[in-house]
Amino acid sequence: MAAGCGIREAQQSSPPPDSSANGEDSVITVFAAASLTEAFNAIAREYQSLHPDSEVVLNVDGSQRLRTQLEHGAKADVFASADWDQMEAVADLGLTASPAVNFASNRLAILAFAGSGGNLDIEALDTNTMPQPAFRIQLEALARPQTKIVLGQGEVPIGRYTERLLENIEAAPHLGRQMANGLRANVVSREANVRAIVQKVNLGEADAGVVYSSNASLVTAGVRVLELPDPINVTAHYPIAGLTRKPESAAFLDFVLSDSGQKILRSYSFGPPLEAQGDTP
Amino acid sequence: MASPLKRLVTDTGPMGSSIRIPVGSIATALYVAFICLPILALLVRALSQEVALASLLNDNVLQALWLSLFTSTISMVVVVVVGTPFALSLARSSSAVMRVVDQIVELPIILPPVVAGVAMLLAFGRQGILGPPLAHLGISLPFTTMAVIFAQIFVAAPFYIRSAKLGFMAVPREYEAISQTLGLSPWRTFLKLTLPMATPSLLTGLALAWARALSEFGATIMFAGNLMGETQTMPLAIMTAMETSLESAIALSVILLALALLVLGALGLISRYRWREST
Repeated sequence: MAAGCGIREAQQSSPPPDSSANGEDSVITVFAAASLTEAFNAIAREYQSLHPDSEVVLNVDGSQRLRTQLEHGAKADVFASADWDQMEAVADLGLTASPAVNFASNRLAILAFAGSGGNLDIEALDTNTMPQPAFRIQLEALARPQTKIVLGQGEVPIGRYTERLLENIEAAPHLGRQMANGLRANVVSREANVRAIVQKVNLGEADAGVVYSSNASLVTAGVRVLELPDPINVTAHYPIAGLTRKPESAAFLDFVLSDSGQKILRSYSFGPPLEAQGDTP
Repeated sequence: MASPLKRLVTDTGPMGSSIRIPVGSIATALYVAFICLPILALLVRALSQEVALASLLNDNVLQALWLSLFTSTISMVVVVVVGTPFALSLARSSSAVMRVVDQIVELPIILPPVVAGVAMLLAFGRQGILGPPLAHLGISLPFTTMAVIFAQIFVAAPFYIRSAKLGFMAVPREYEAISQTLGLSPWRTFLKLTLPMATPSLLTGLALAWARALSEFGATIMFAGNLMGETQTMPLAIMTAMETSLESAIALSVILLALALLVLGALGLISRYRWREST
């Protein structure tokens, strides 16, 4: 899958922010998964207030796209990915300066557009507080024909996690294959990153989308967040690694893993880092 | 149009002619290298890499290829049918309203395609201005093949209309007047005189517009989304492939390039044939 020959030509498309560190030597370039945008903006602000002589430059995009940029010679000091597949691909090319560690976890949630003009049965969504049977009613509403569902591409972390969620739905005794296939049949688009999914549901053009729980803060008025019950939900593990041996890279990593960094991540609904390194839920 | 540089160079007399050649050839060499090098790099890389072009011609790619051809053809039919009379009235009218309209035509070229996509959602989307009346008729445009065609028409039409207008403007009004005094109806004058004389410009415009429609990406992914077989045209398939393997993306790019060259080549051939016939 990853370009086998490990090409390193100069970047050809969409160059990331300049990080050649000419002049200012305390610029820290951080490549972060799209789902981390708000949290890492806050972390960068906090870090800069603690280290006034440092400047944090953030480049946020789908993790797999950041990986491609790194593979082709983009310069960055820190890489924070939404899954281990992208991190391992970068590590396999020898681009990491130290082993990656989990720094946060996330869960999945469904965004449902309940404003006017949508195709969803809104009453079915209002069973929000009830446990599993109500969740089945909600899923049934989503699986009904005409519902427009937007998911991540299969190659993007959110797309992979969503595929696992669909498998869990398929395997769950009270939900089953028919439900999962009904949901799959309603997919109208596969987006390149999680923010594009949120955007299309917020605009009311899509009825529903599968996103991270941490994205719940981004939704607009007409959009409901449907929490997924534990047995079928999927845990996303976020690894981080330094890509350069600069002391600033290590300092930034330490800050993300420190209590104050973790507190910021919690405030954006990210879970604590979990032991499991693999992708298995 | 005489550029200041060219005027300066030609005005310097005998010395000038010896300067003009190096300036011209240096500029030519620079520009050709600038354009050809990336495309050459793409081709060399595509031919040397392990992923063979042929192995990529699977169902998904064929679907994307077919969808690109299908949607861009429909778009061009619409652009020609509506754009030709529109361009003619732009060329023939001198009213203030038409001058304003003339400026509006070029707006889609200035707009970043993603913004164009958002604008189309706000106009034709489910929550857009025309959303409720369209829903009343049972029509929902976003995430459909029709939305792909809408996006292509929006971004590509200006290229055809602009070229067609210039073509029609170049046909002397006196010829048309003479033709009509000779007893030909305005409609026959248009078919027998104006249209043939403007054909090279129309074909040039069509080629540009078609190329733009084939390469359309930003407005499509915003307005039509990205779903295999429905809305995933070649540029979107390339973007999707890029997420896993740059090699497949490069190979797909070469296929799209070949398709674009084929369309441009065909239009070039027709153009030359028509030109010879009409002179």
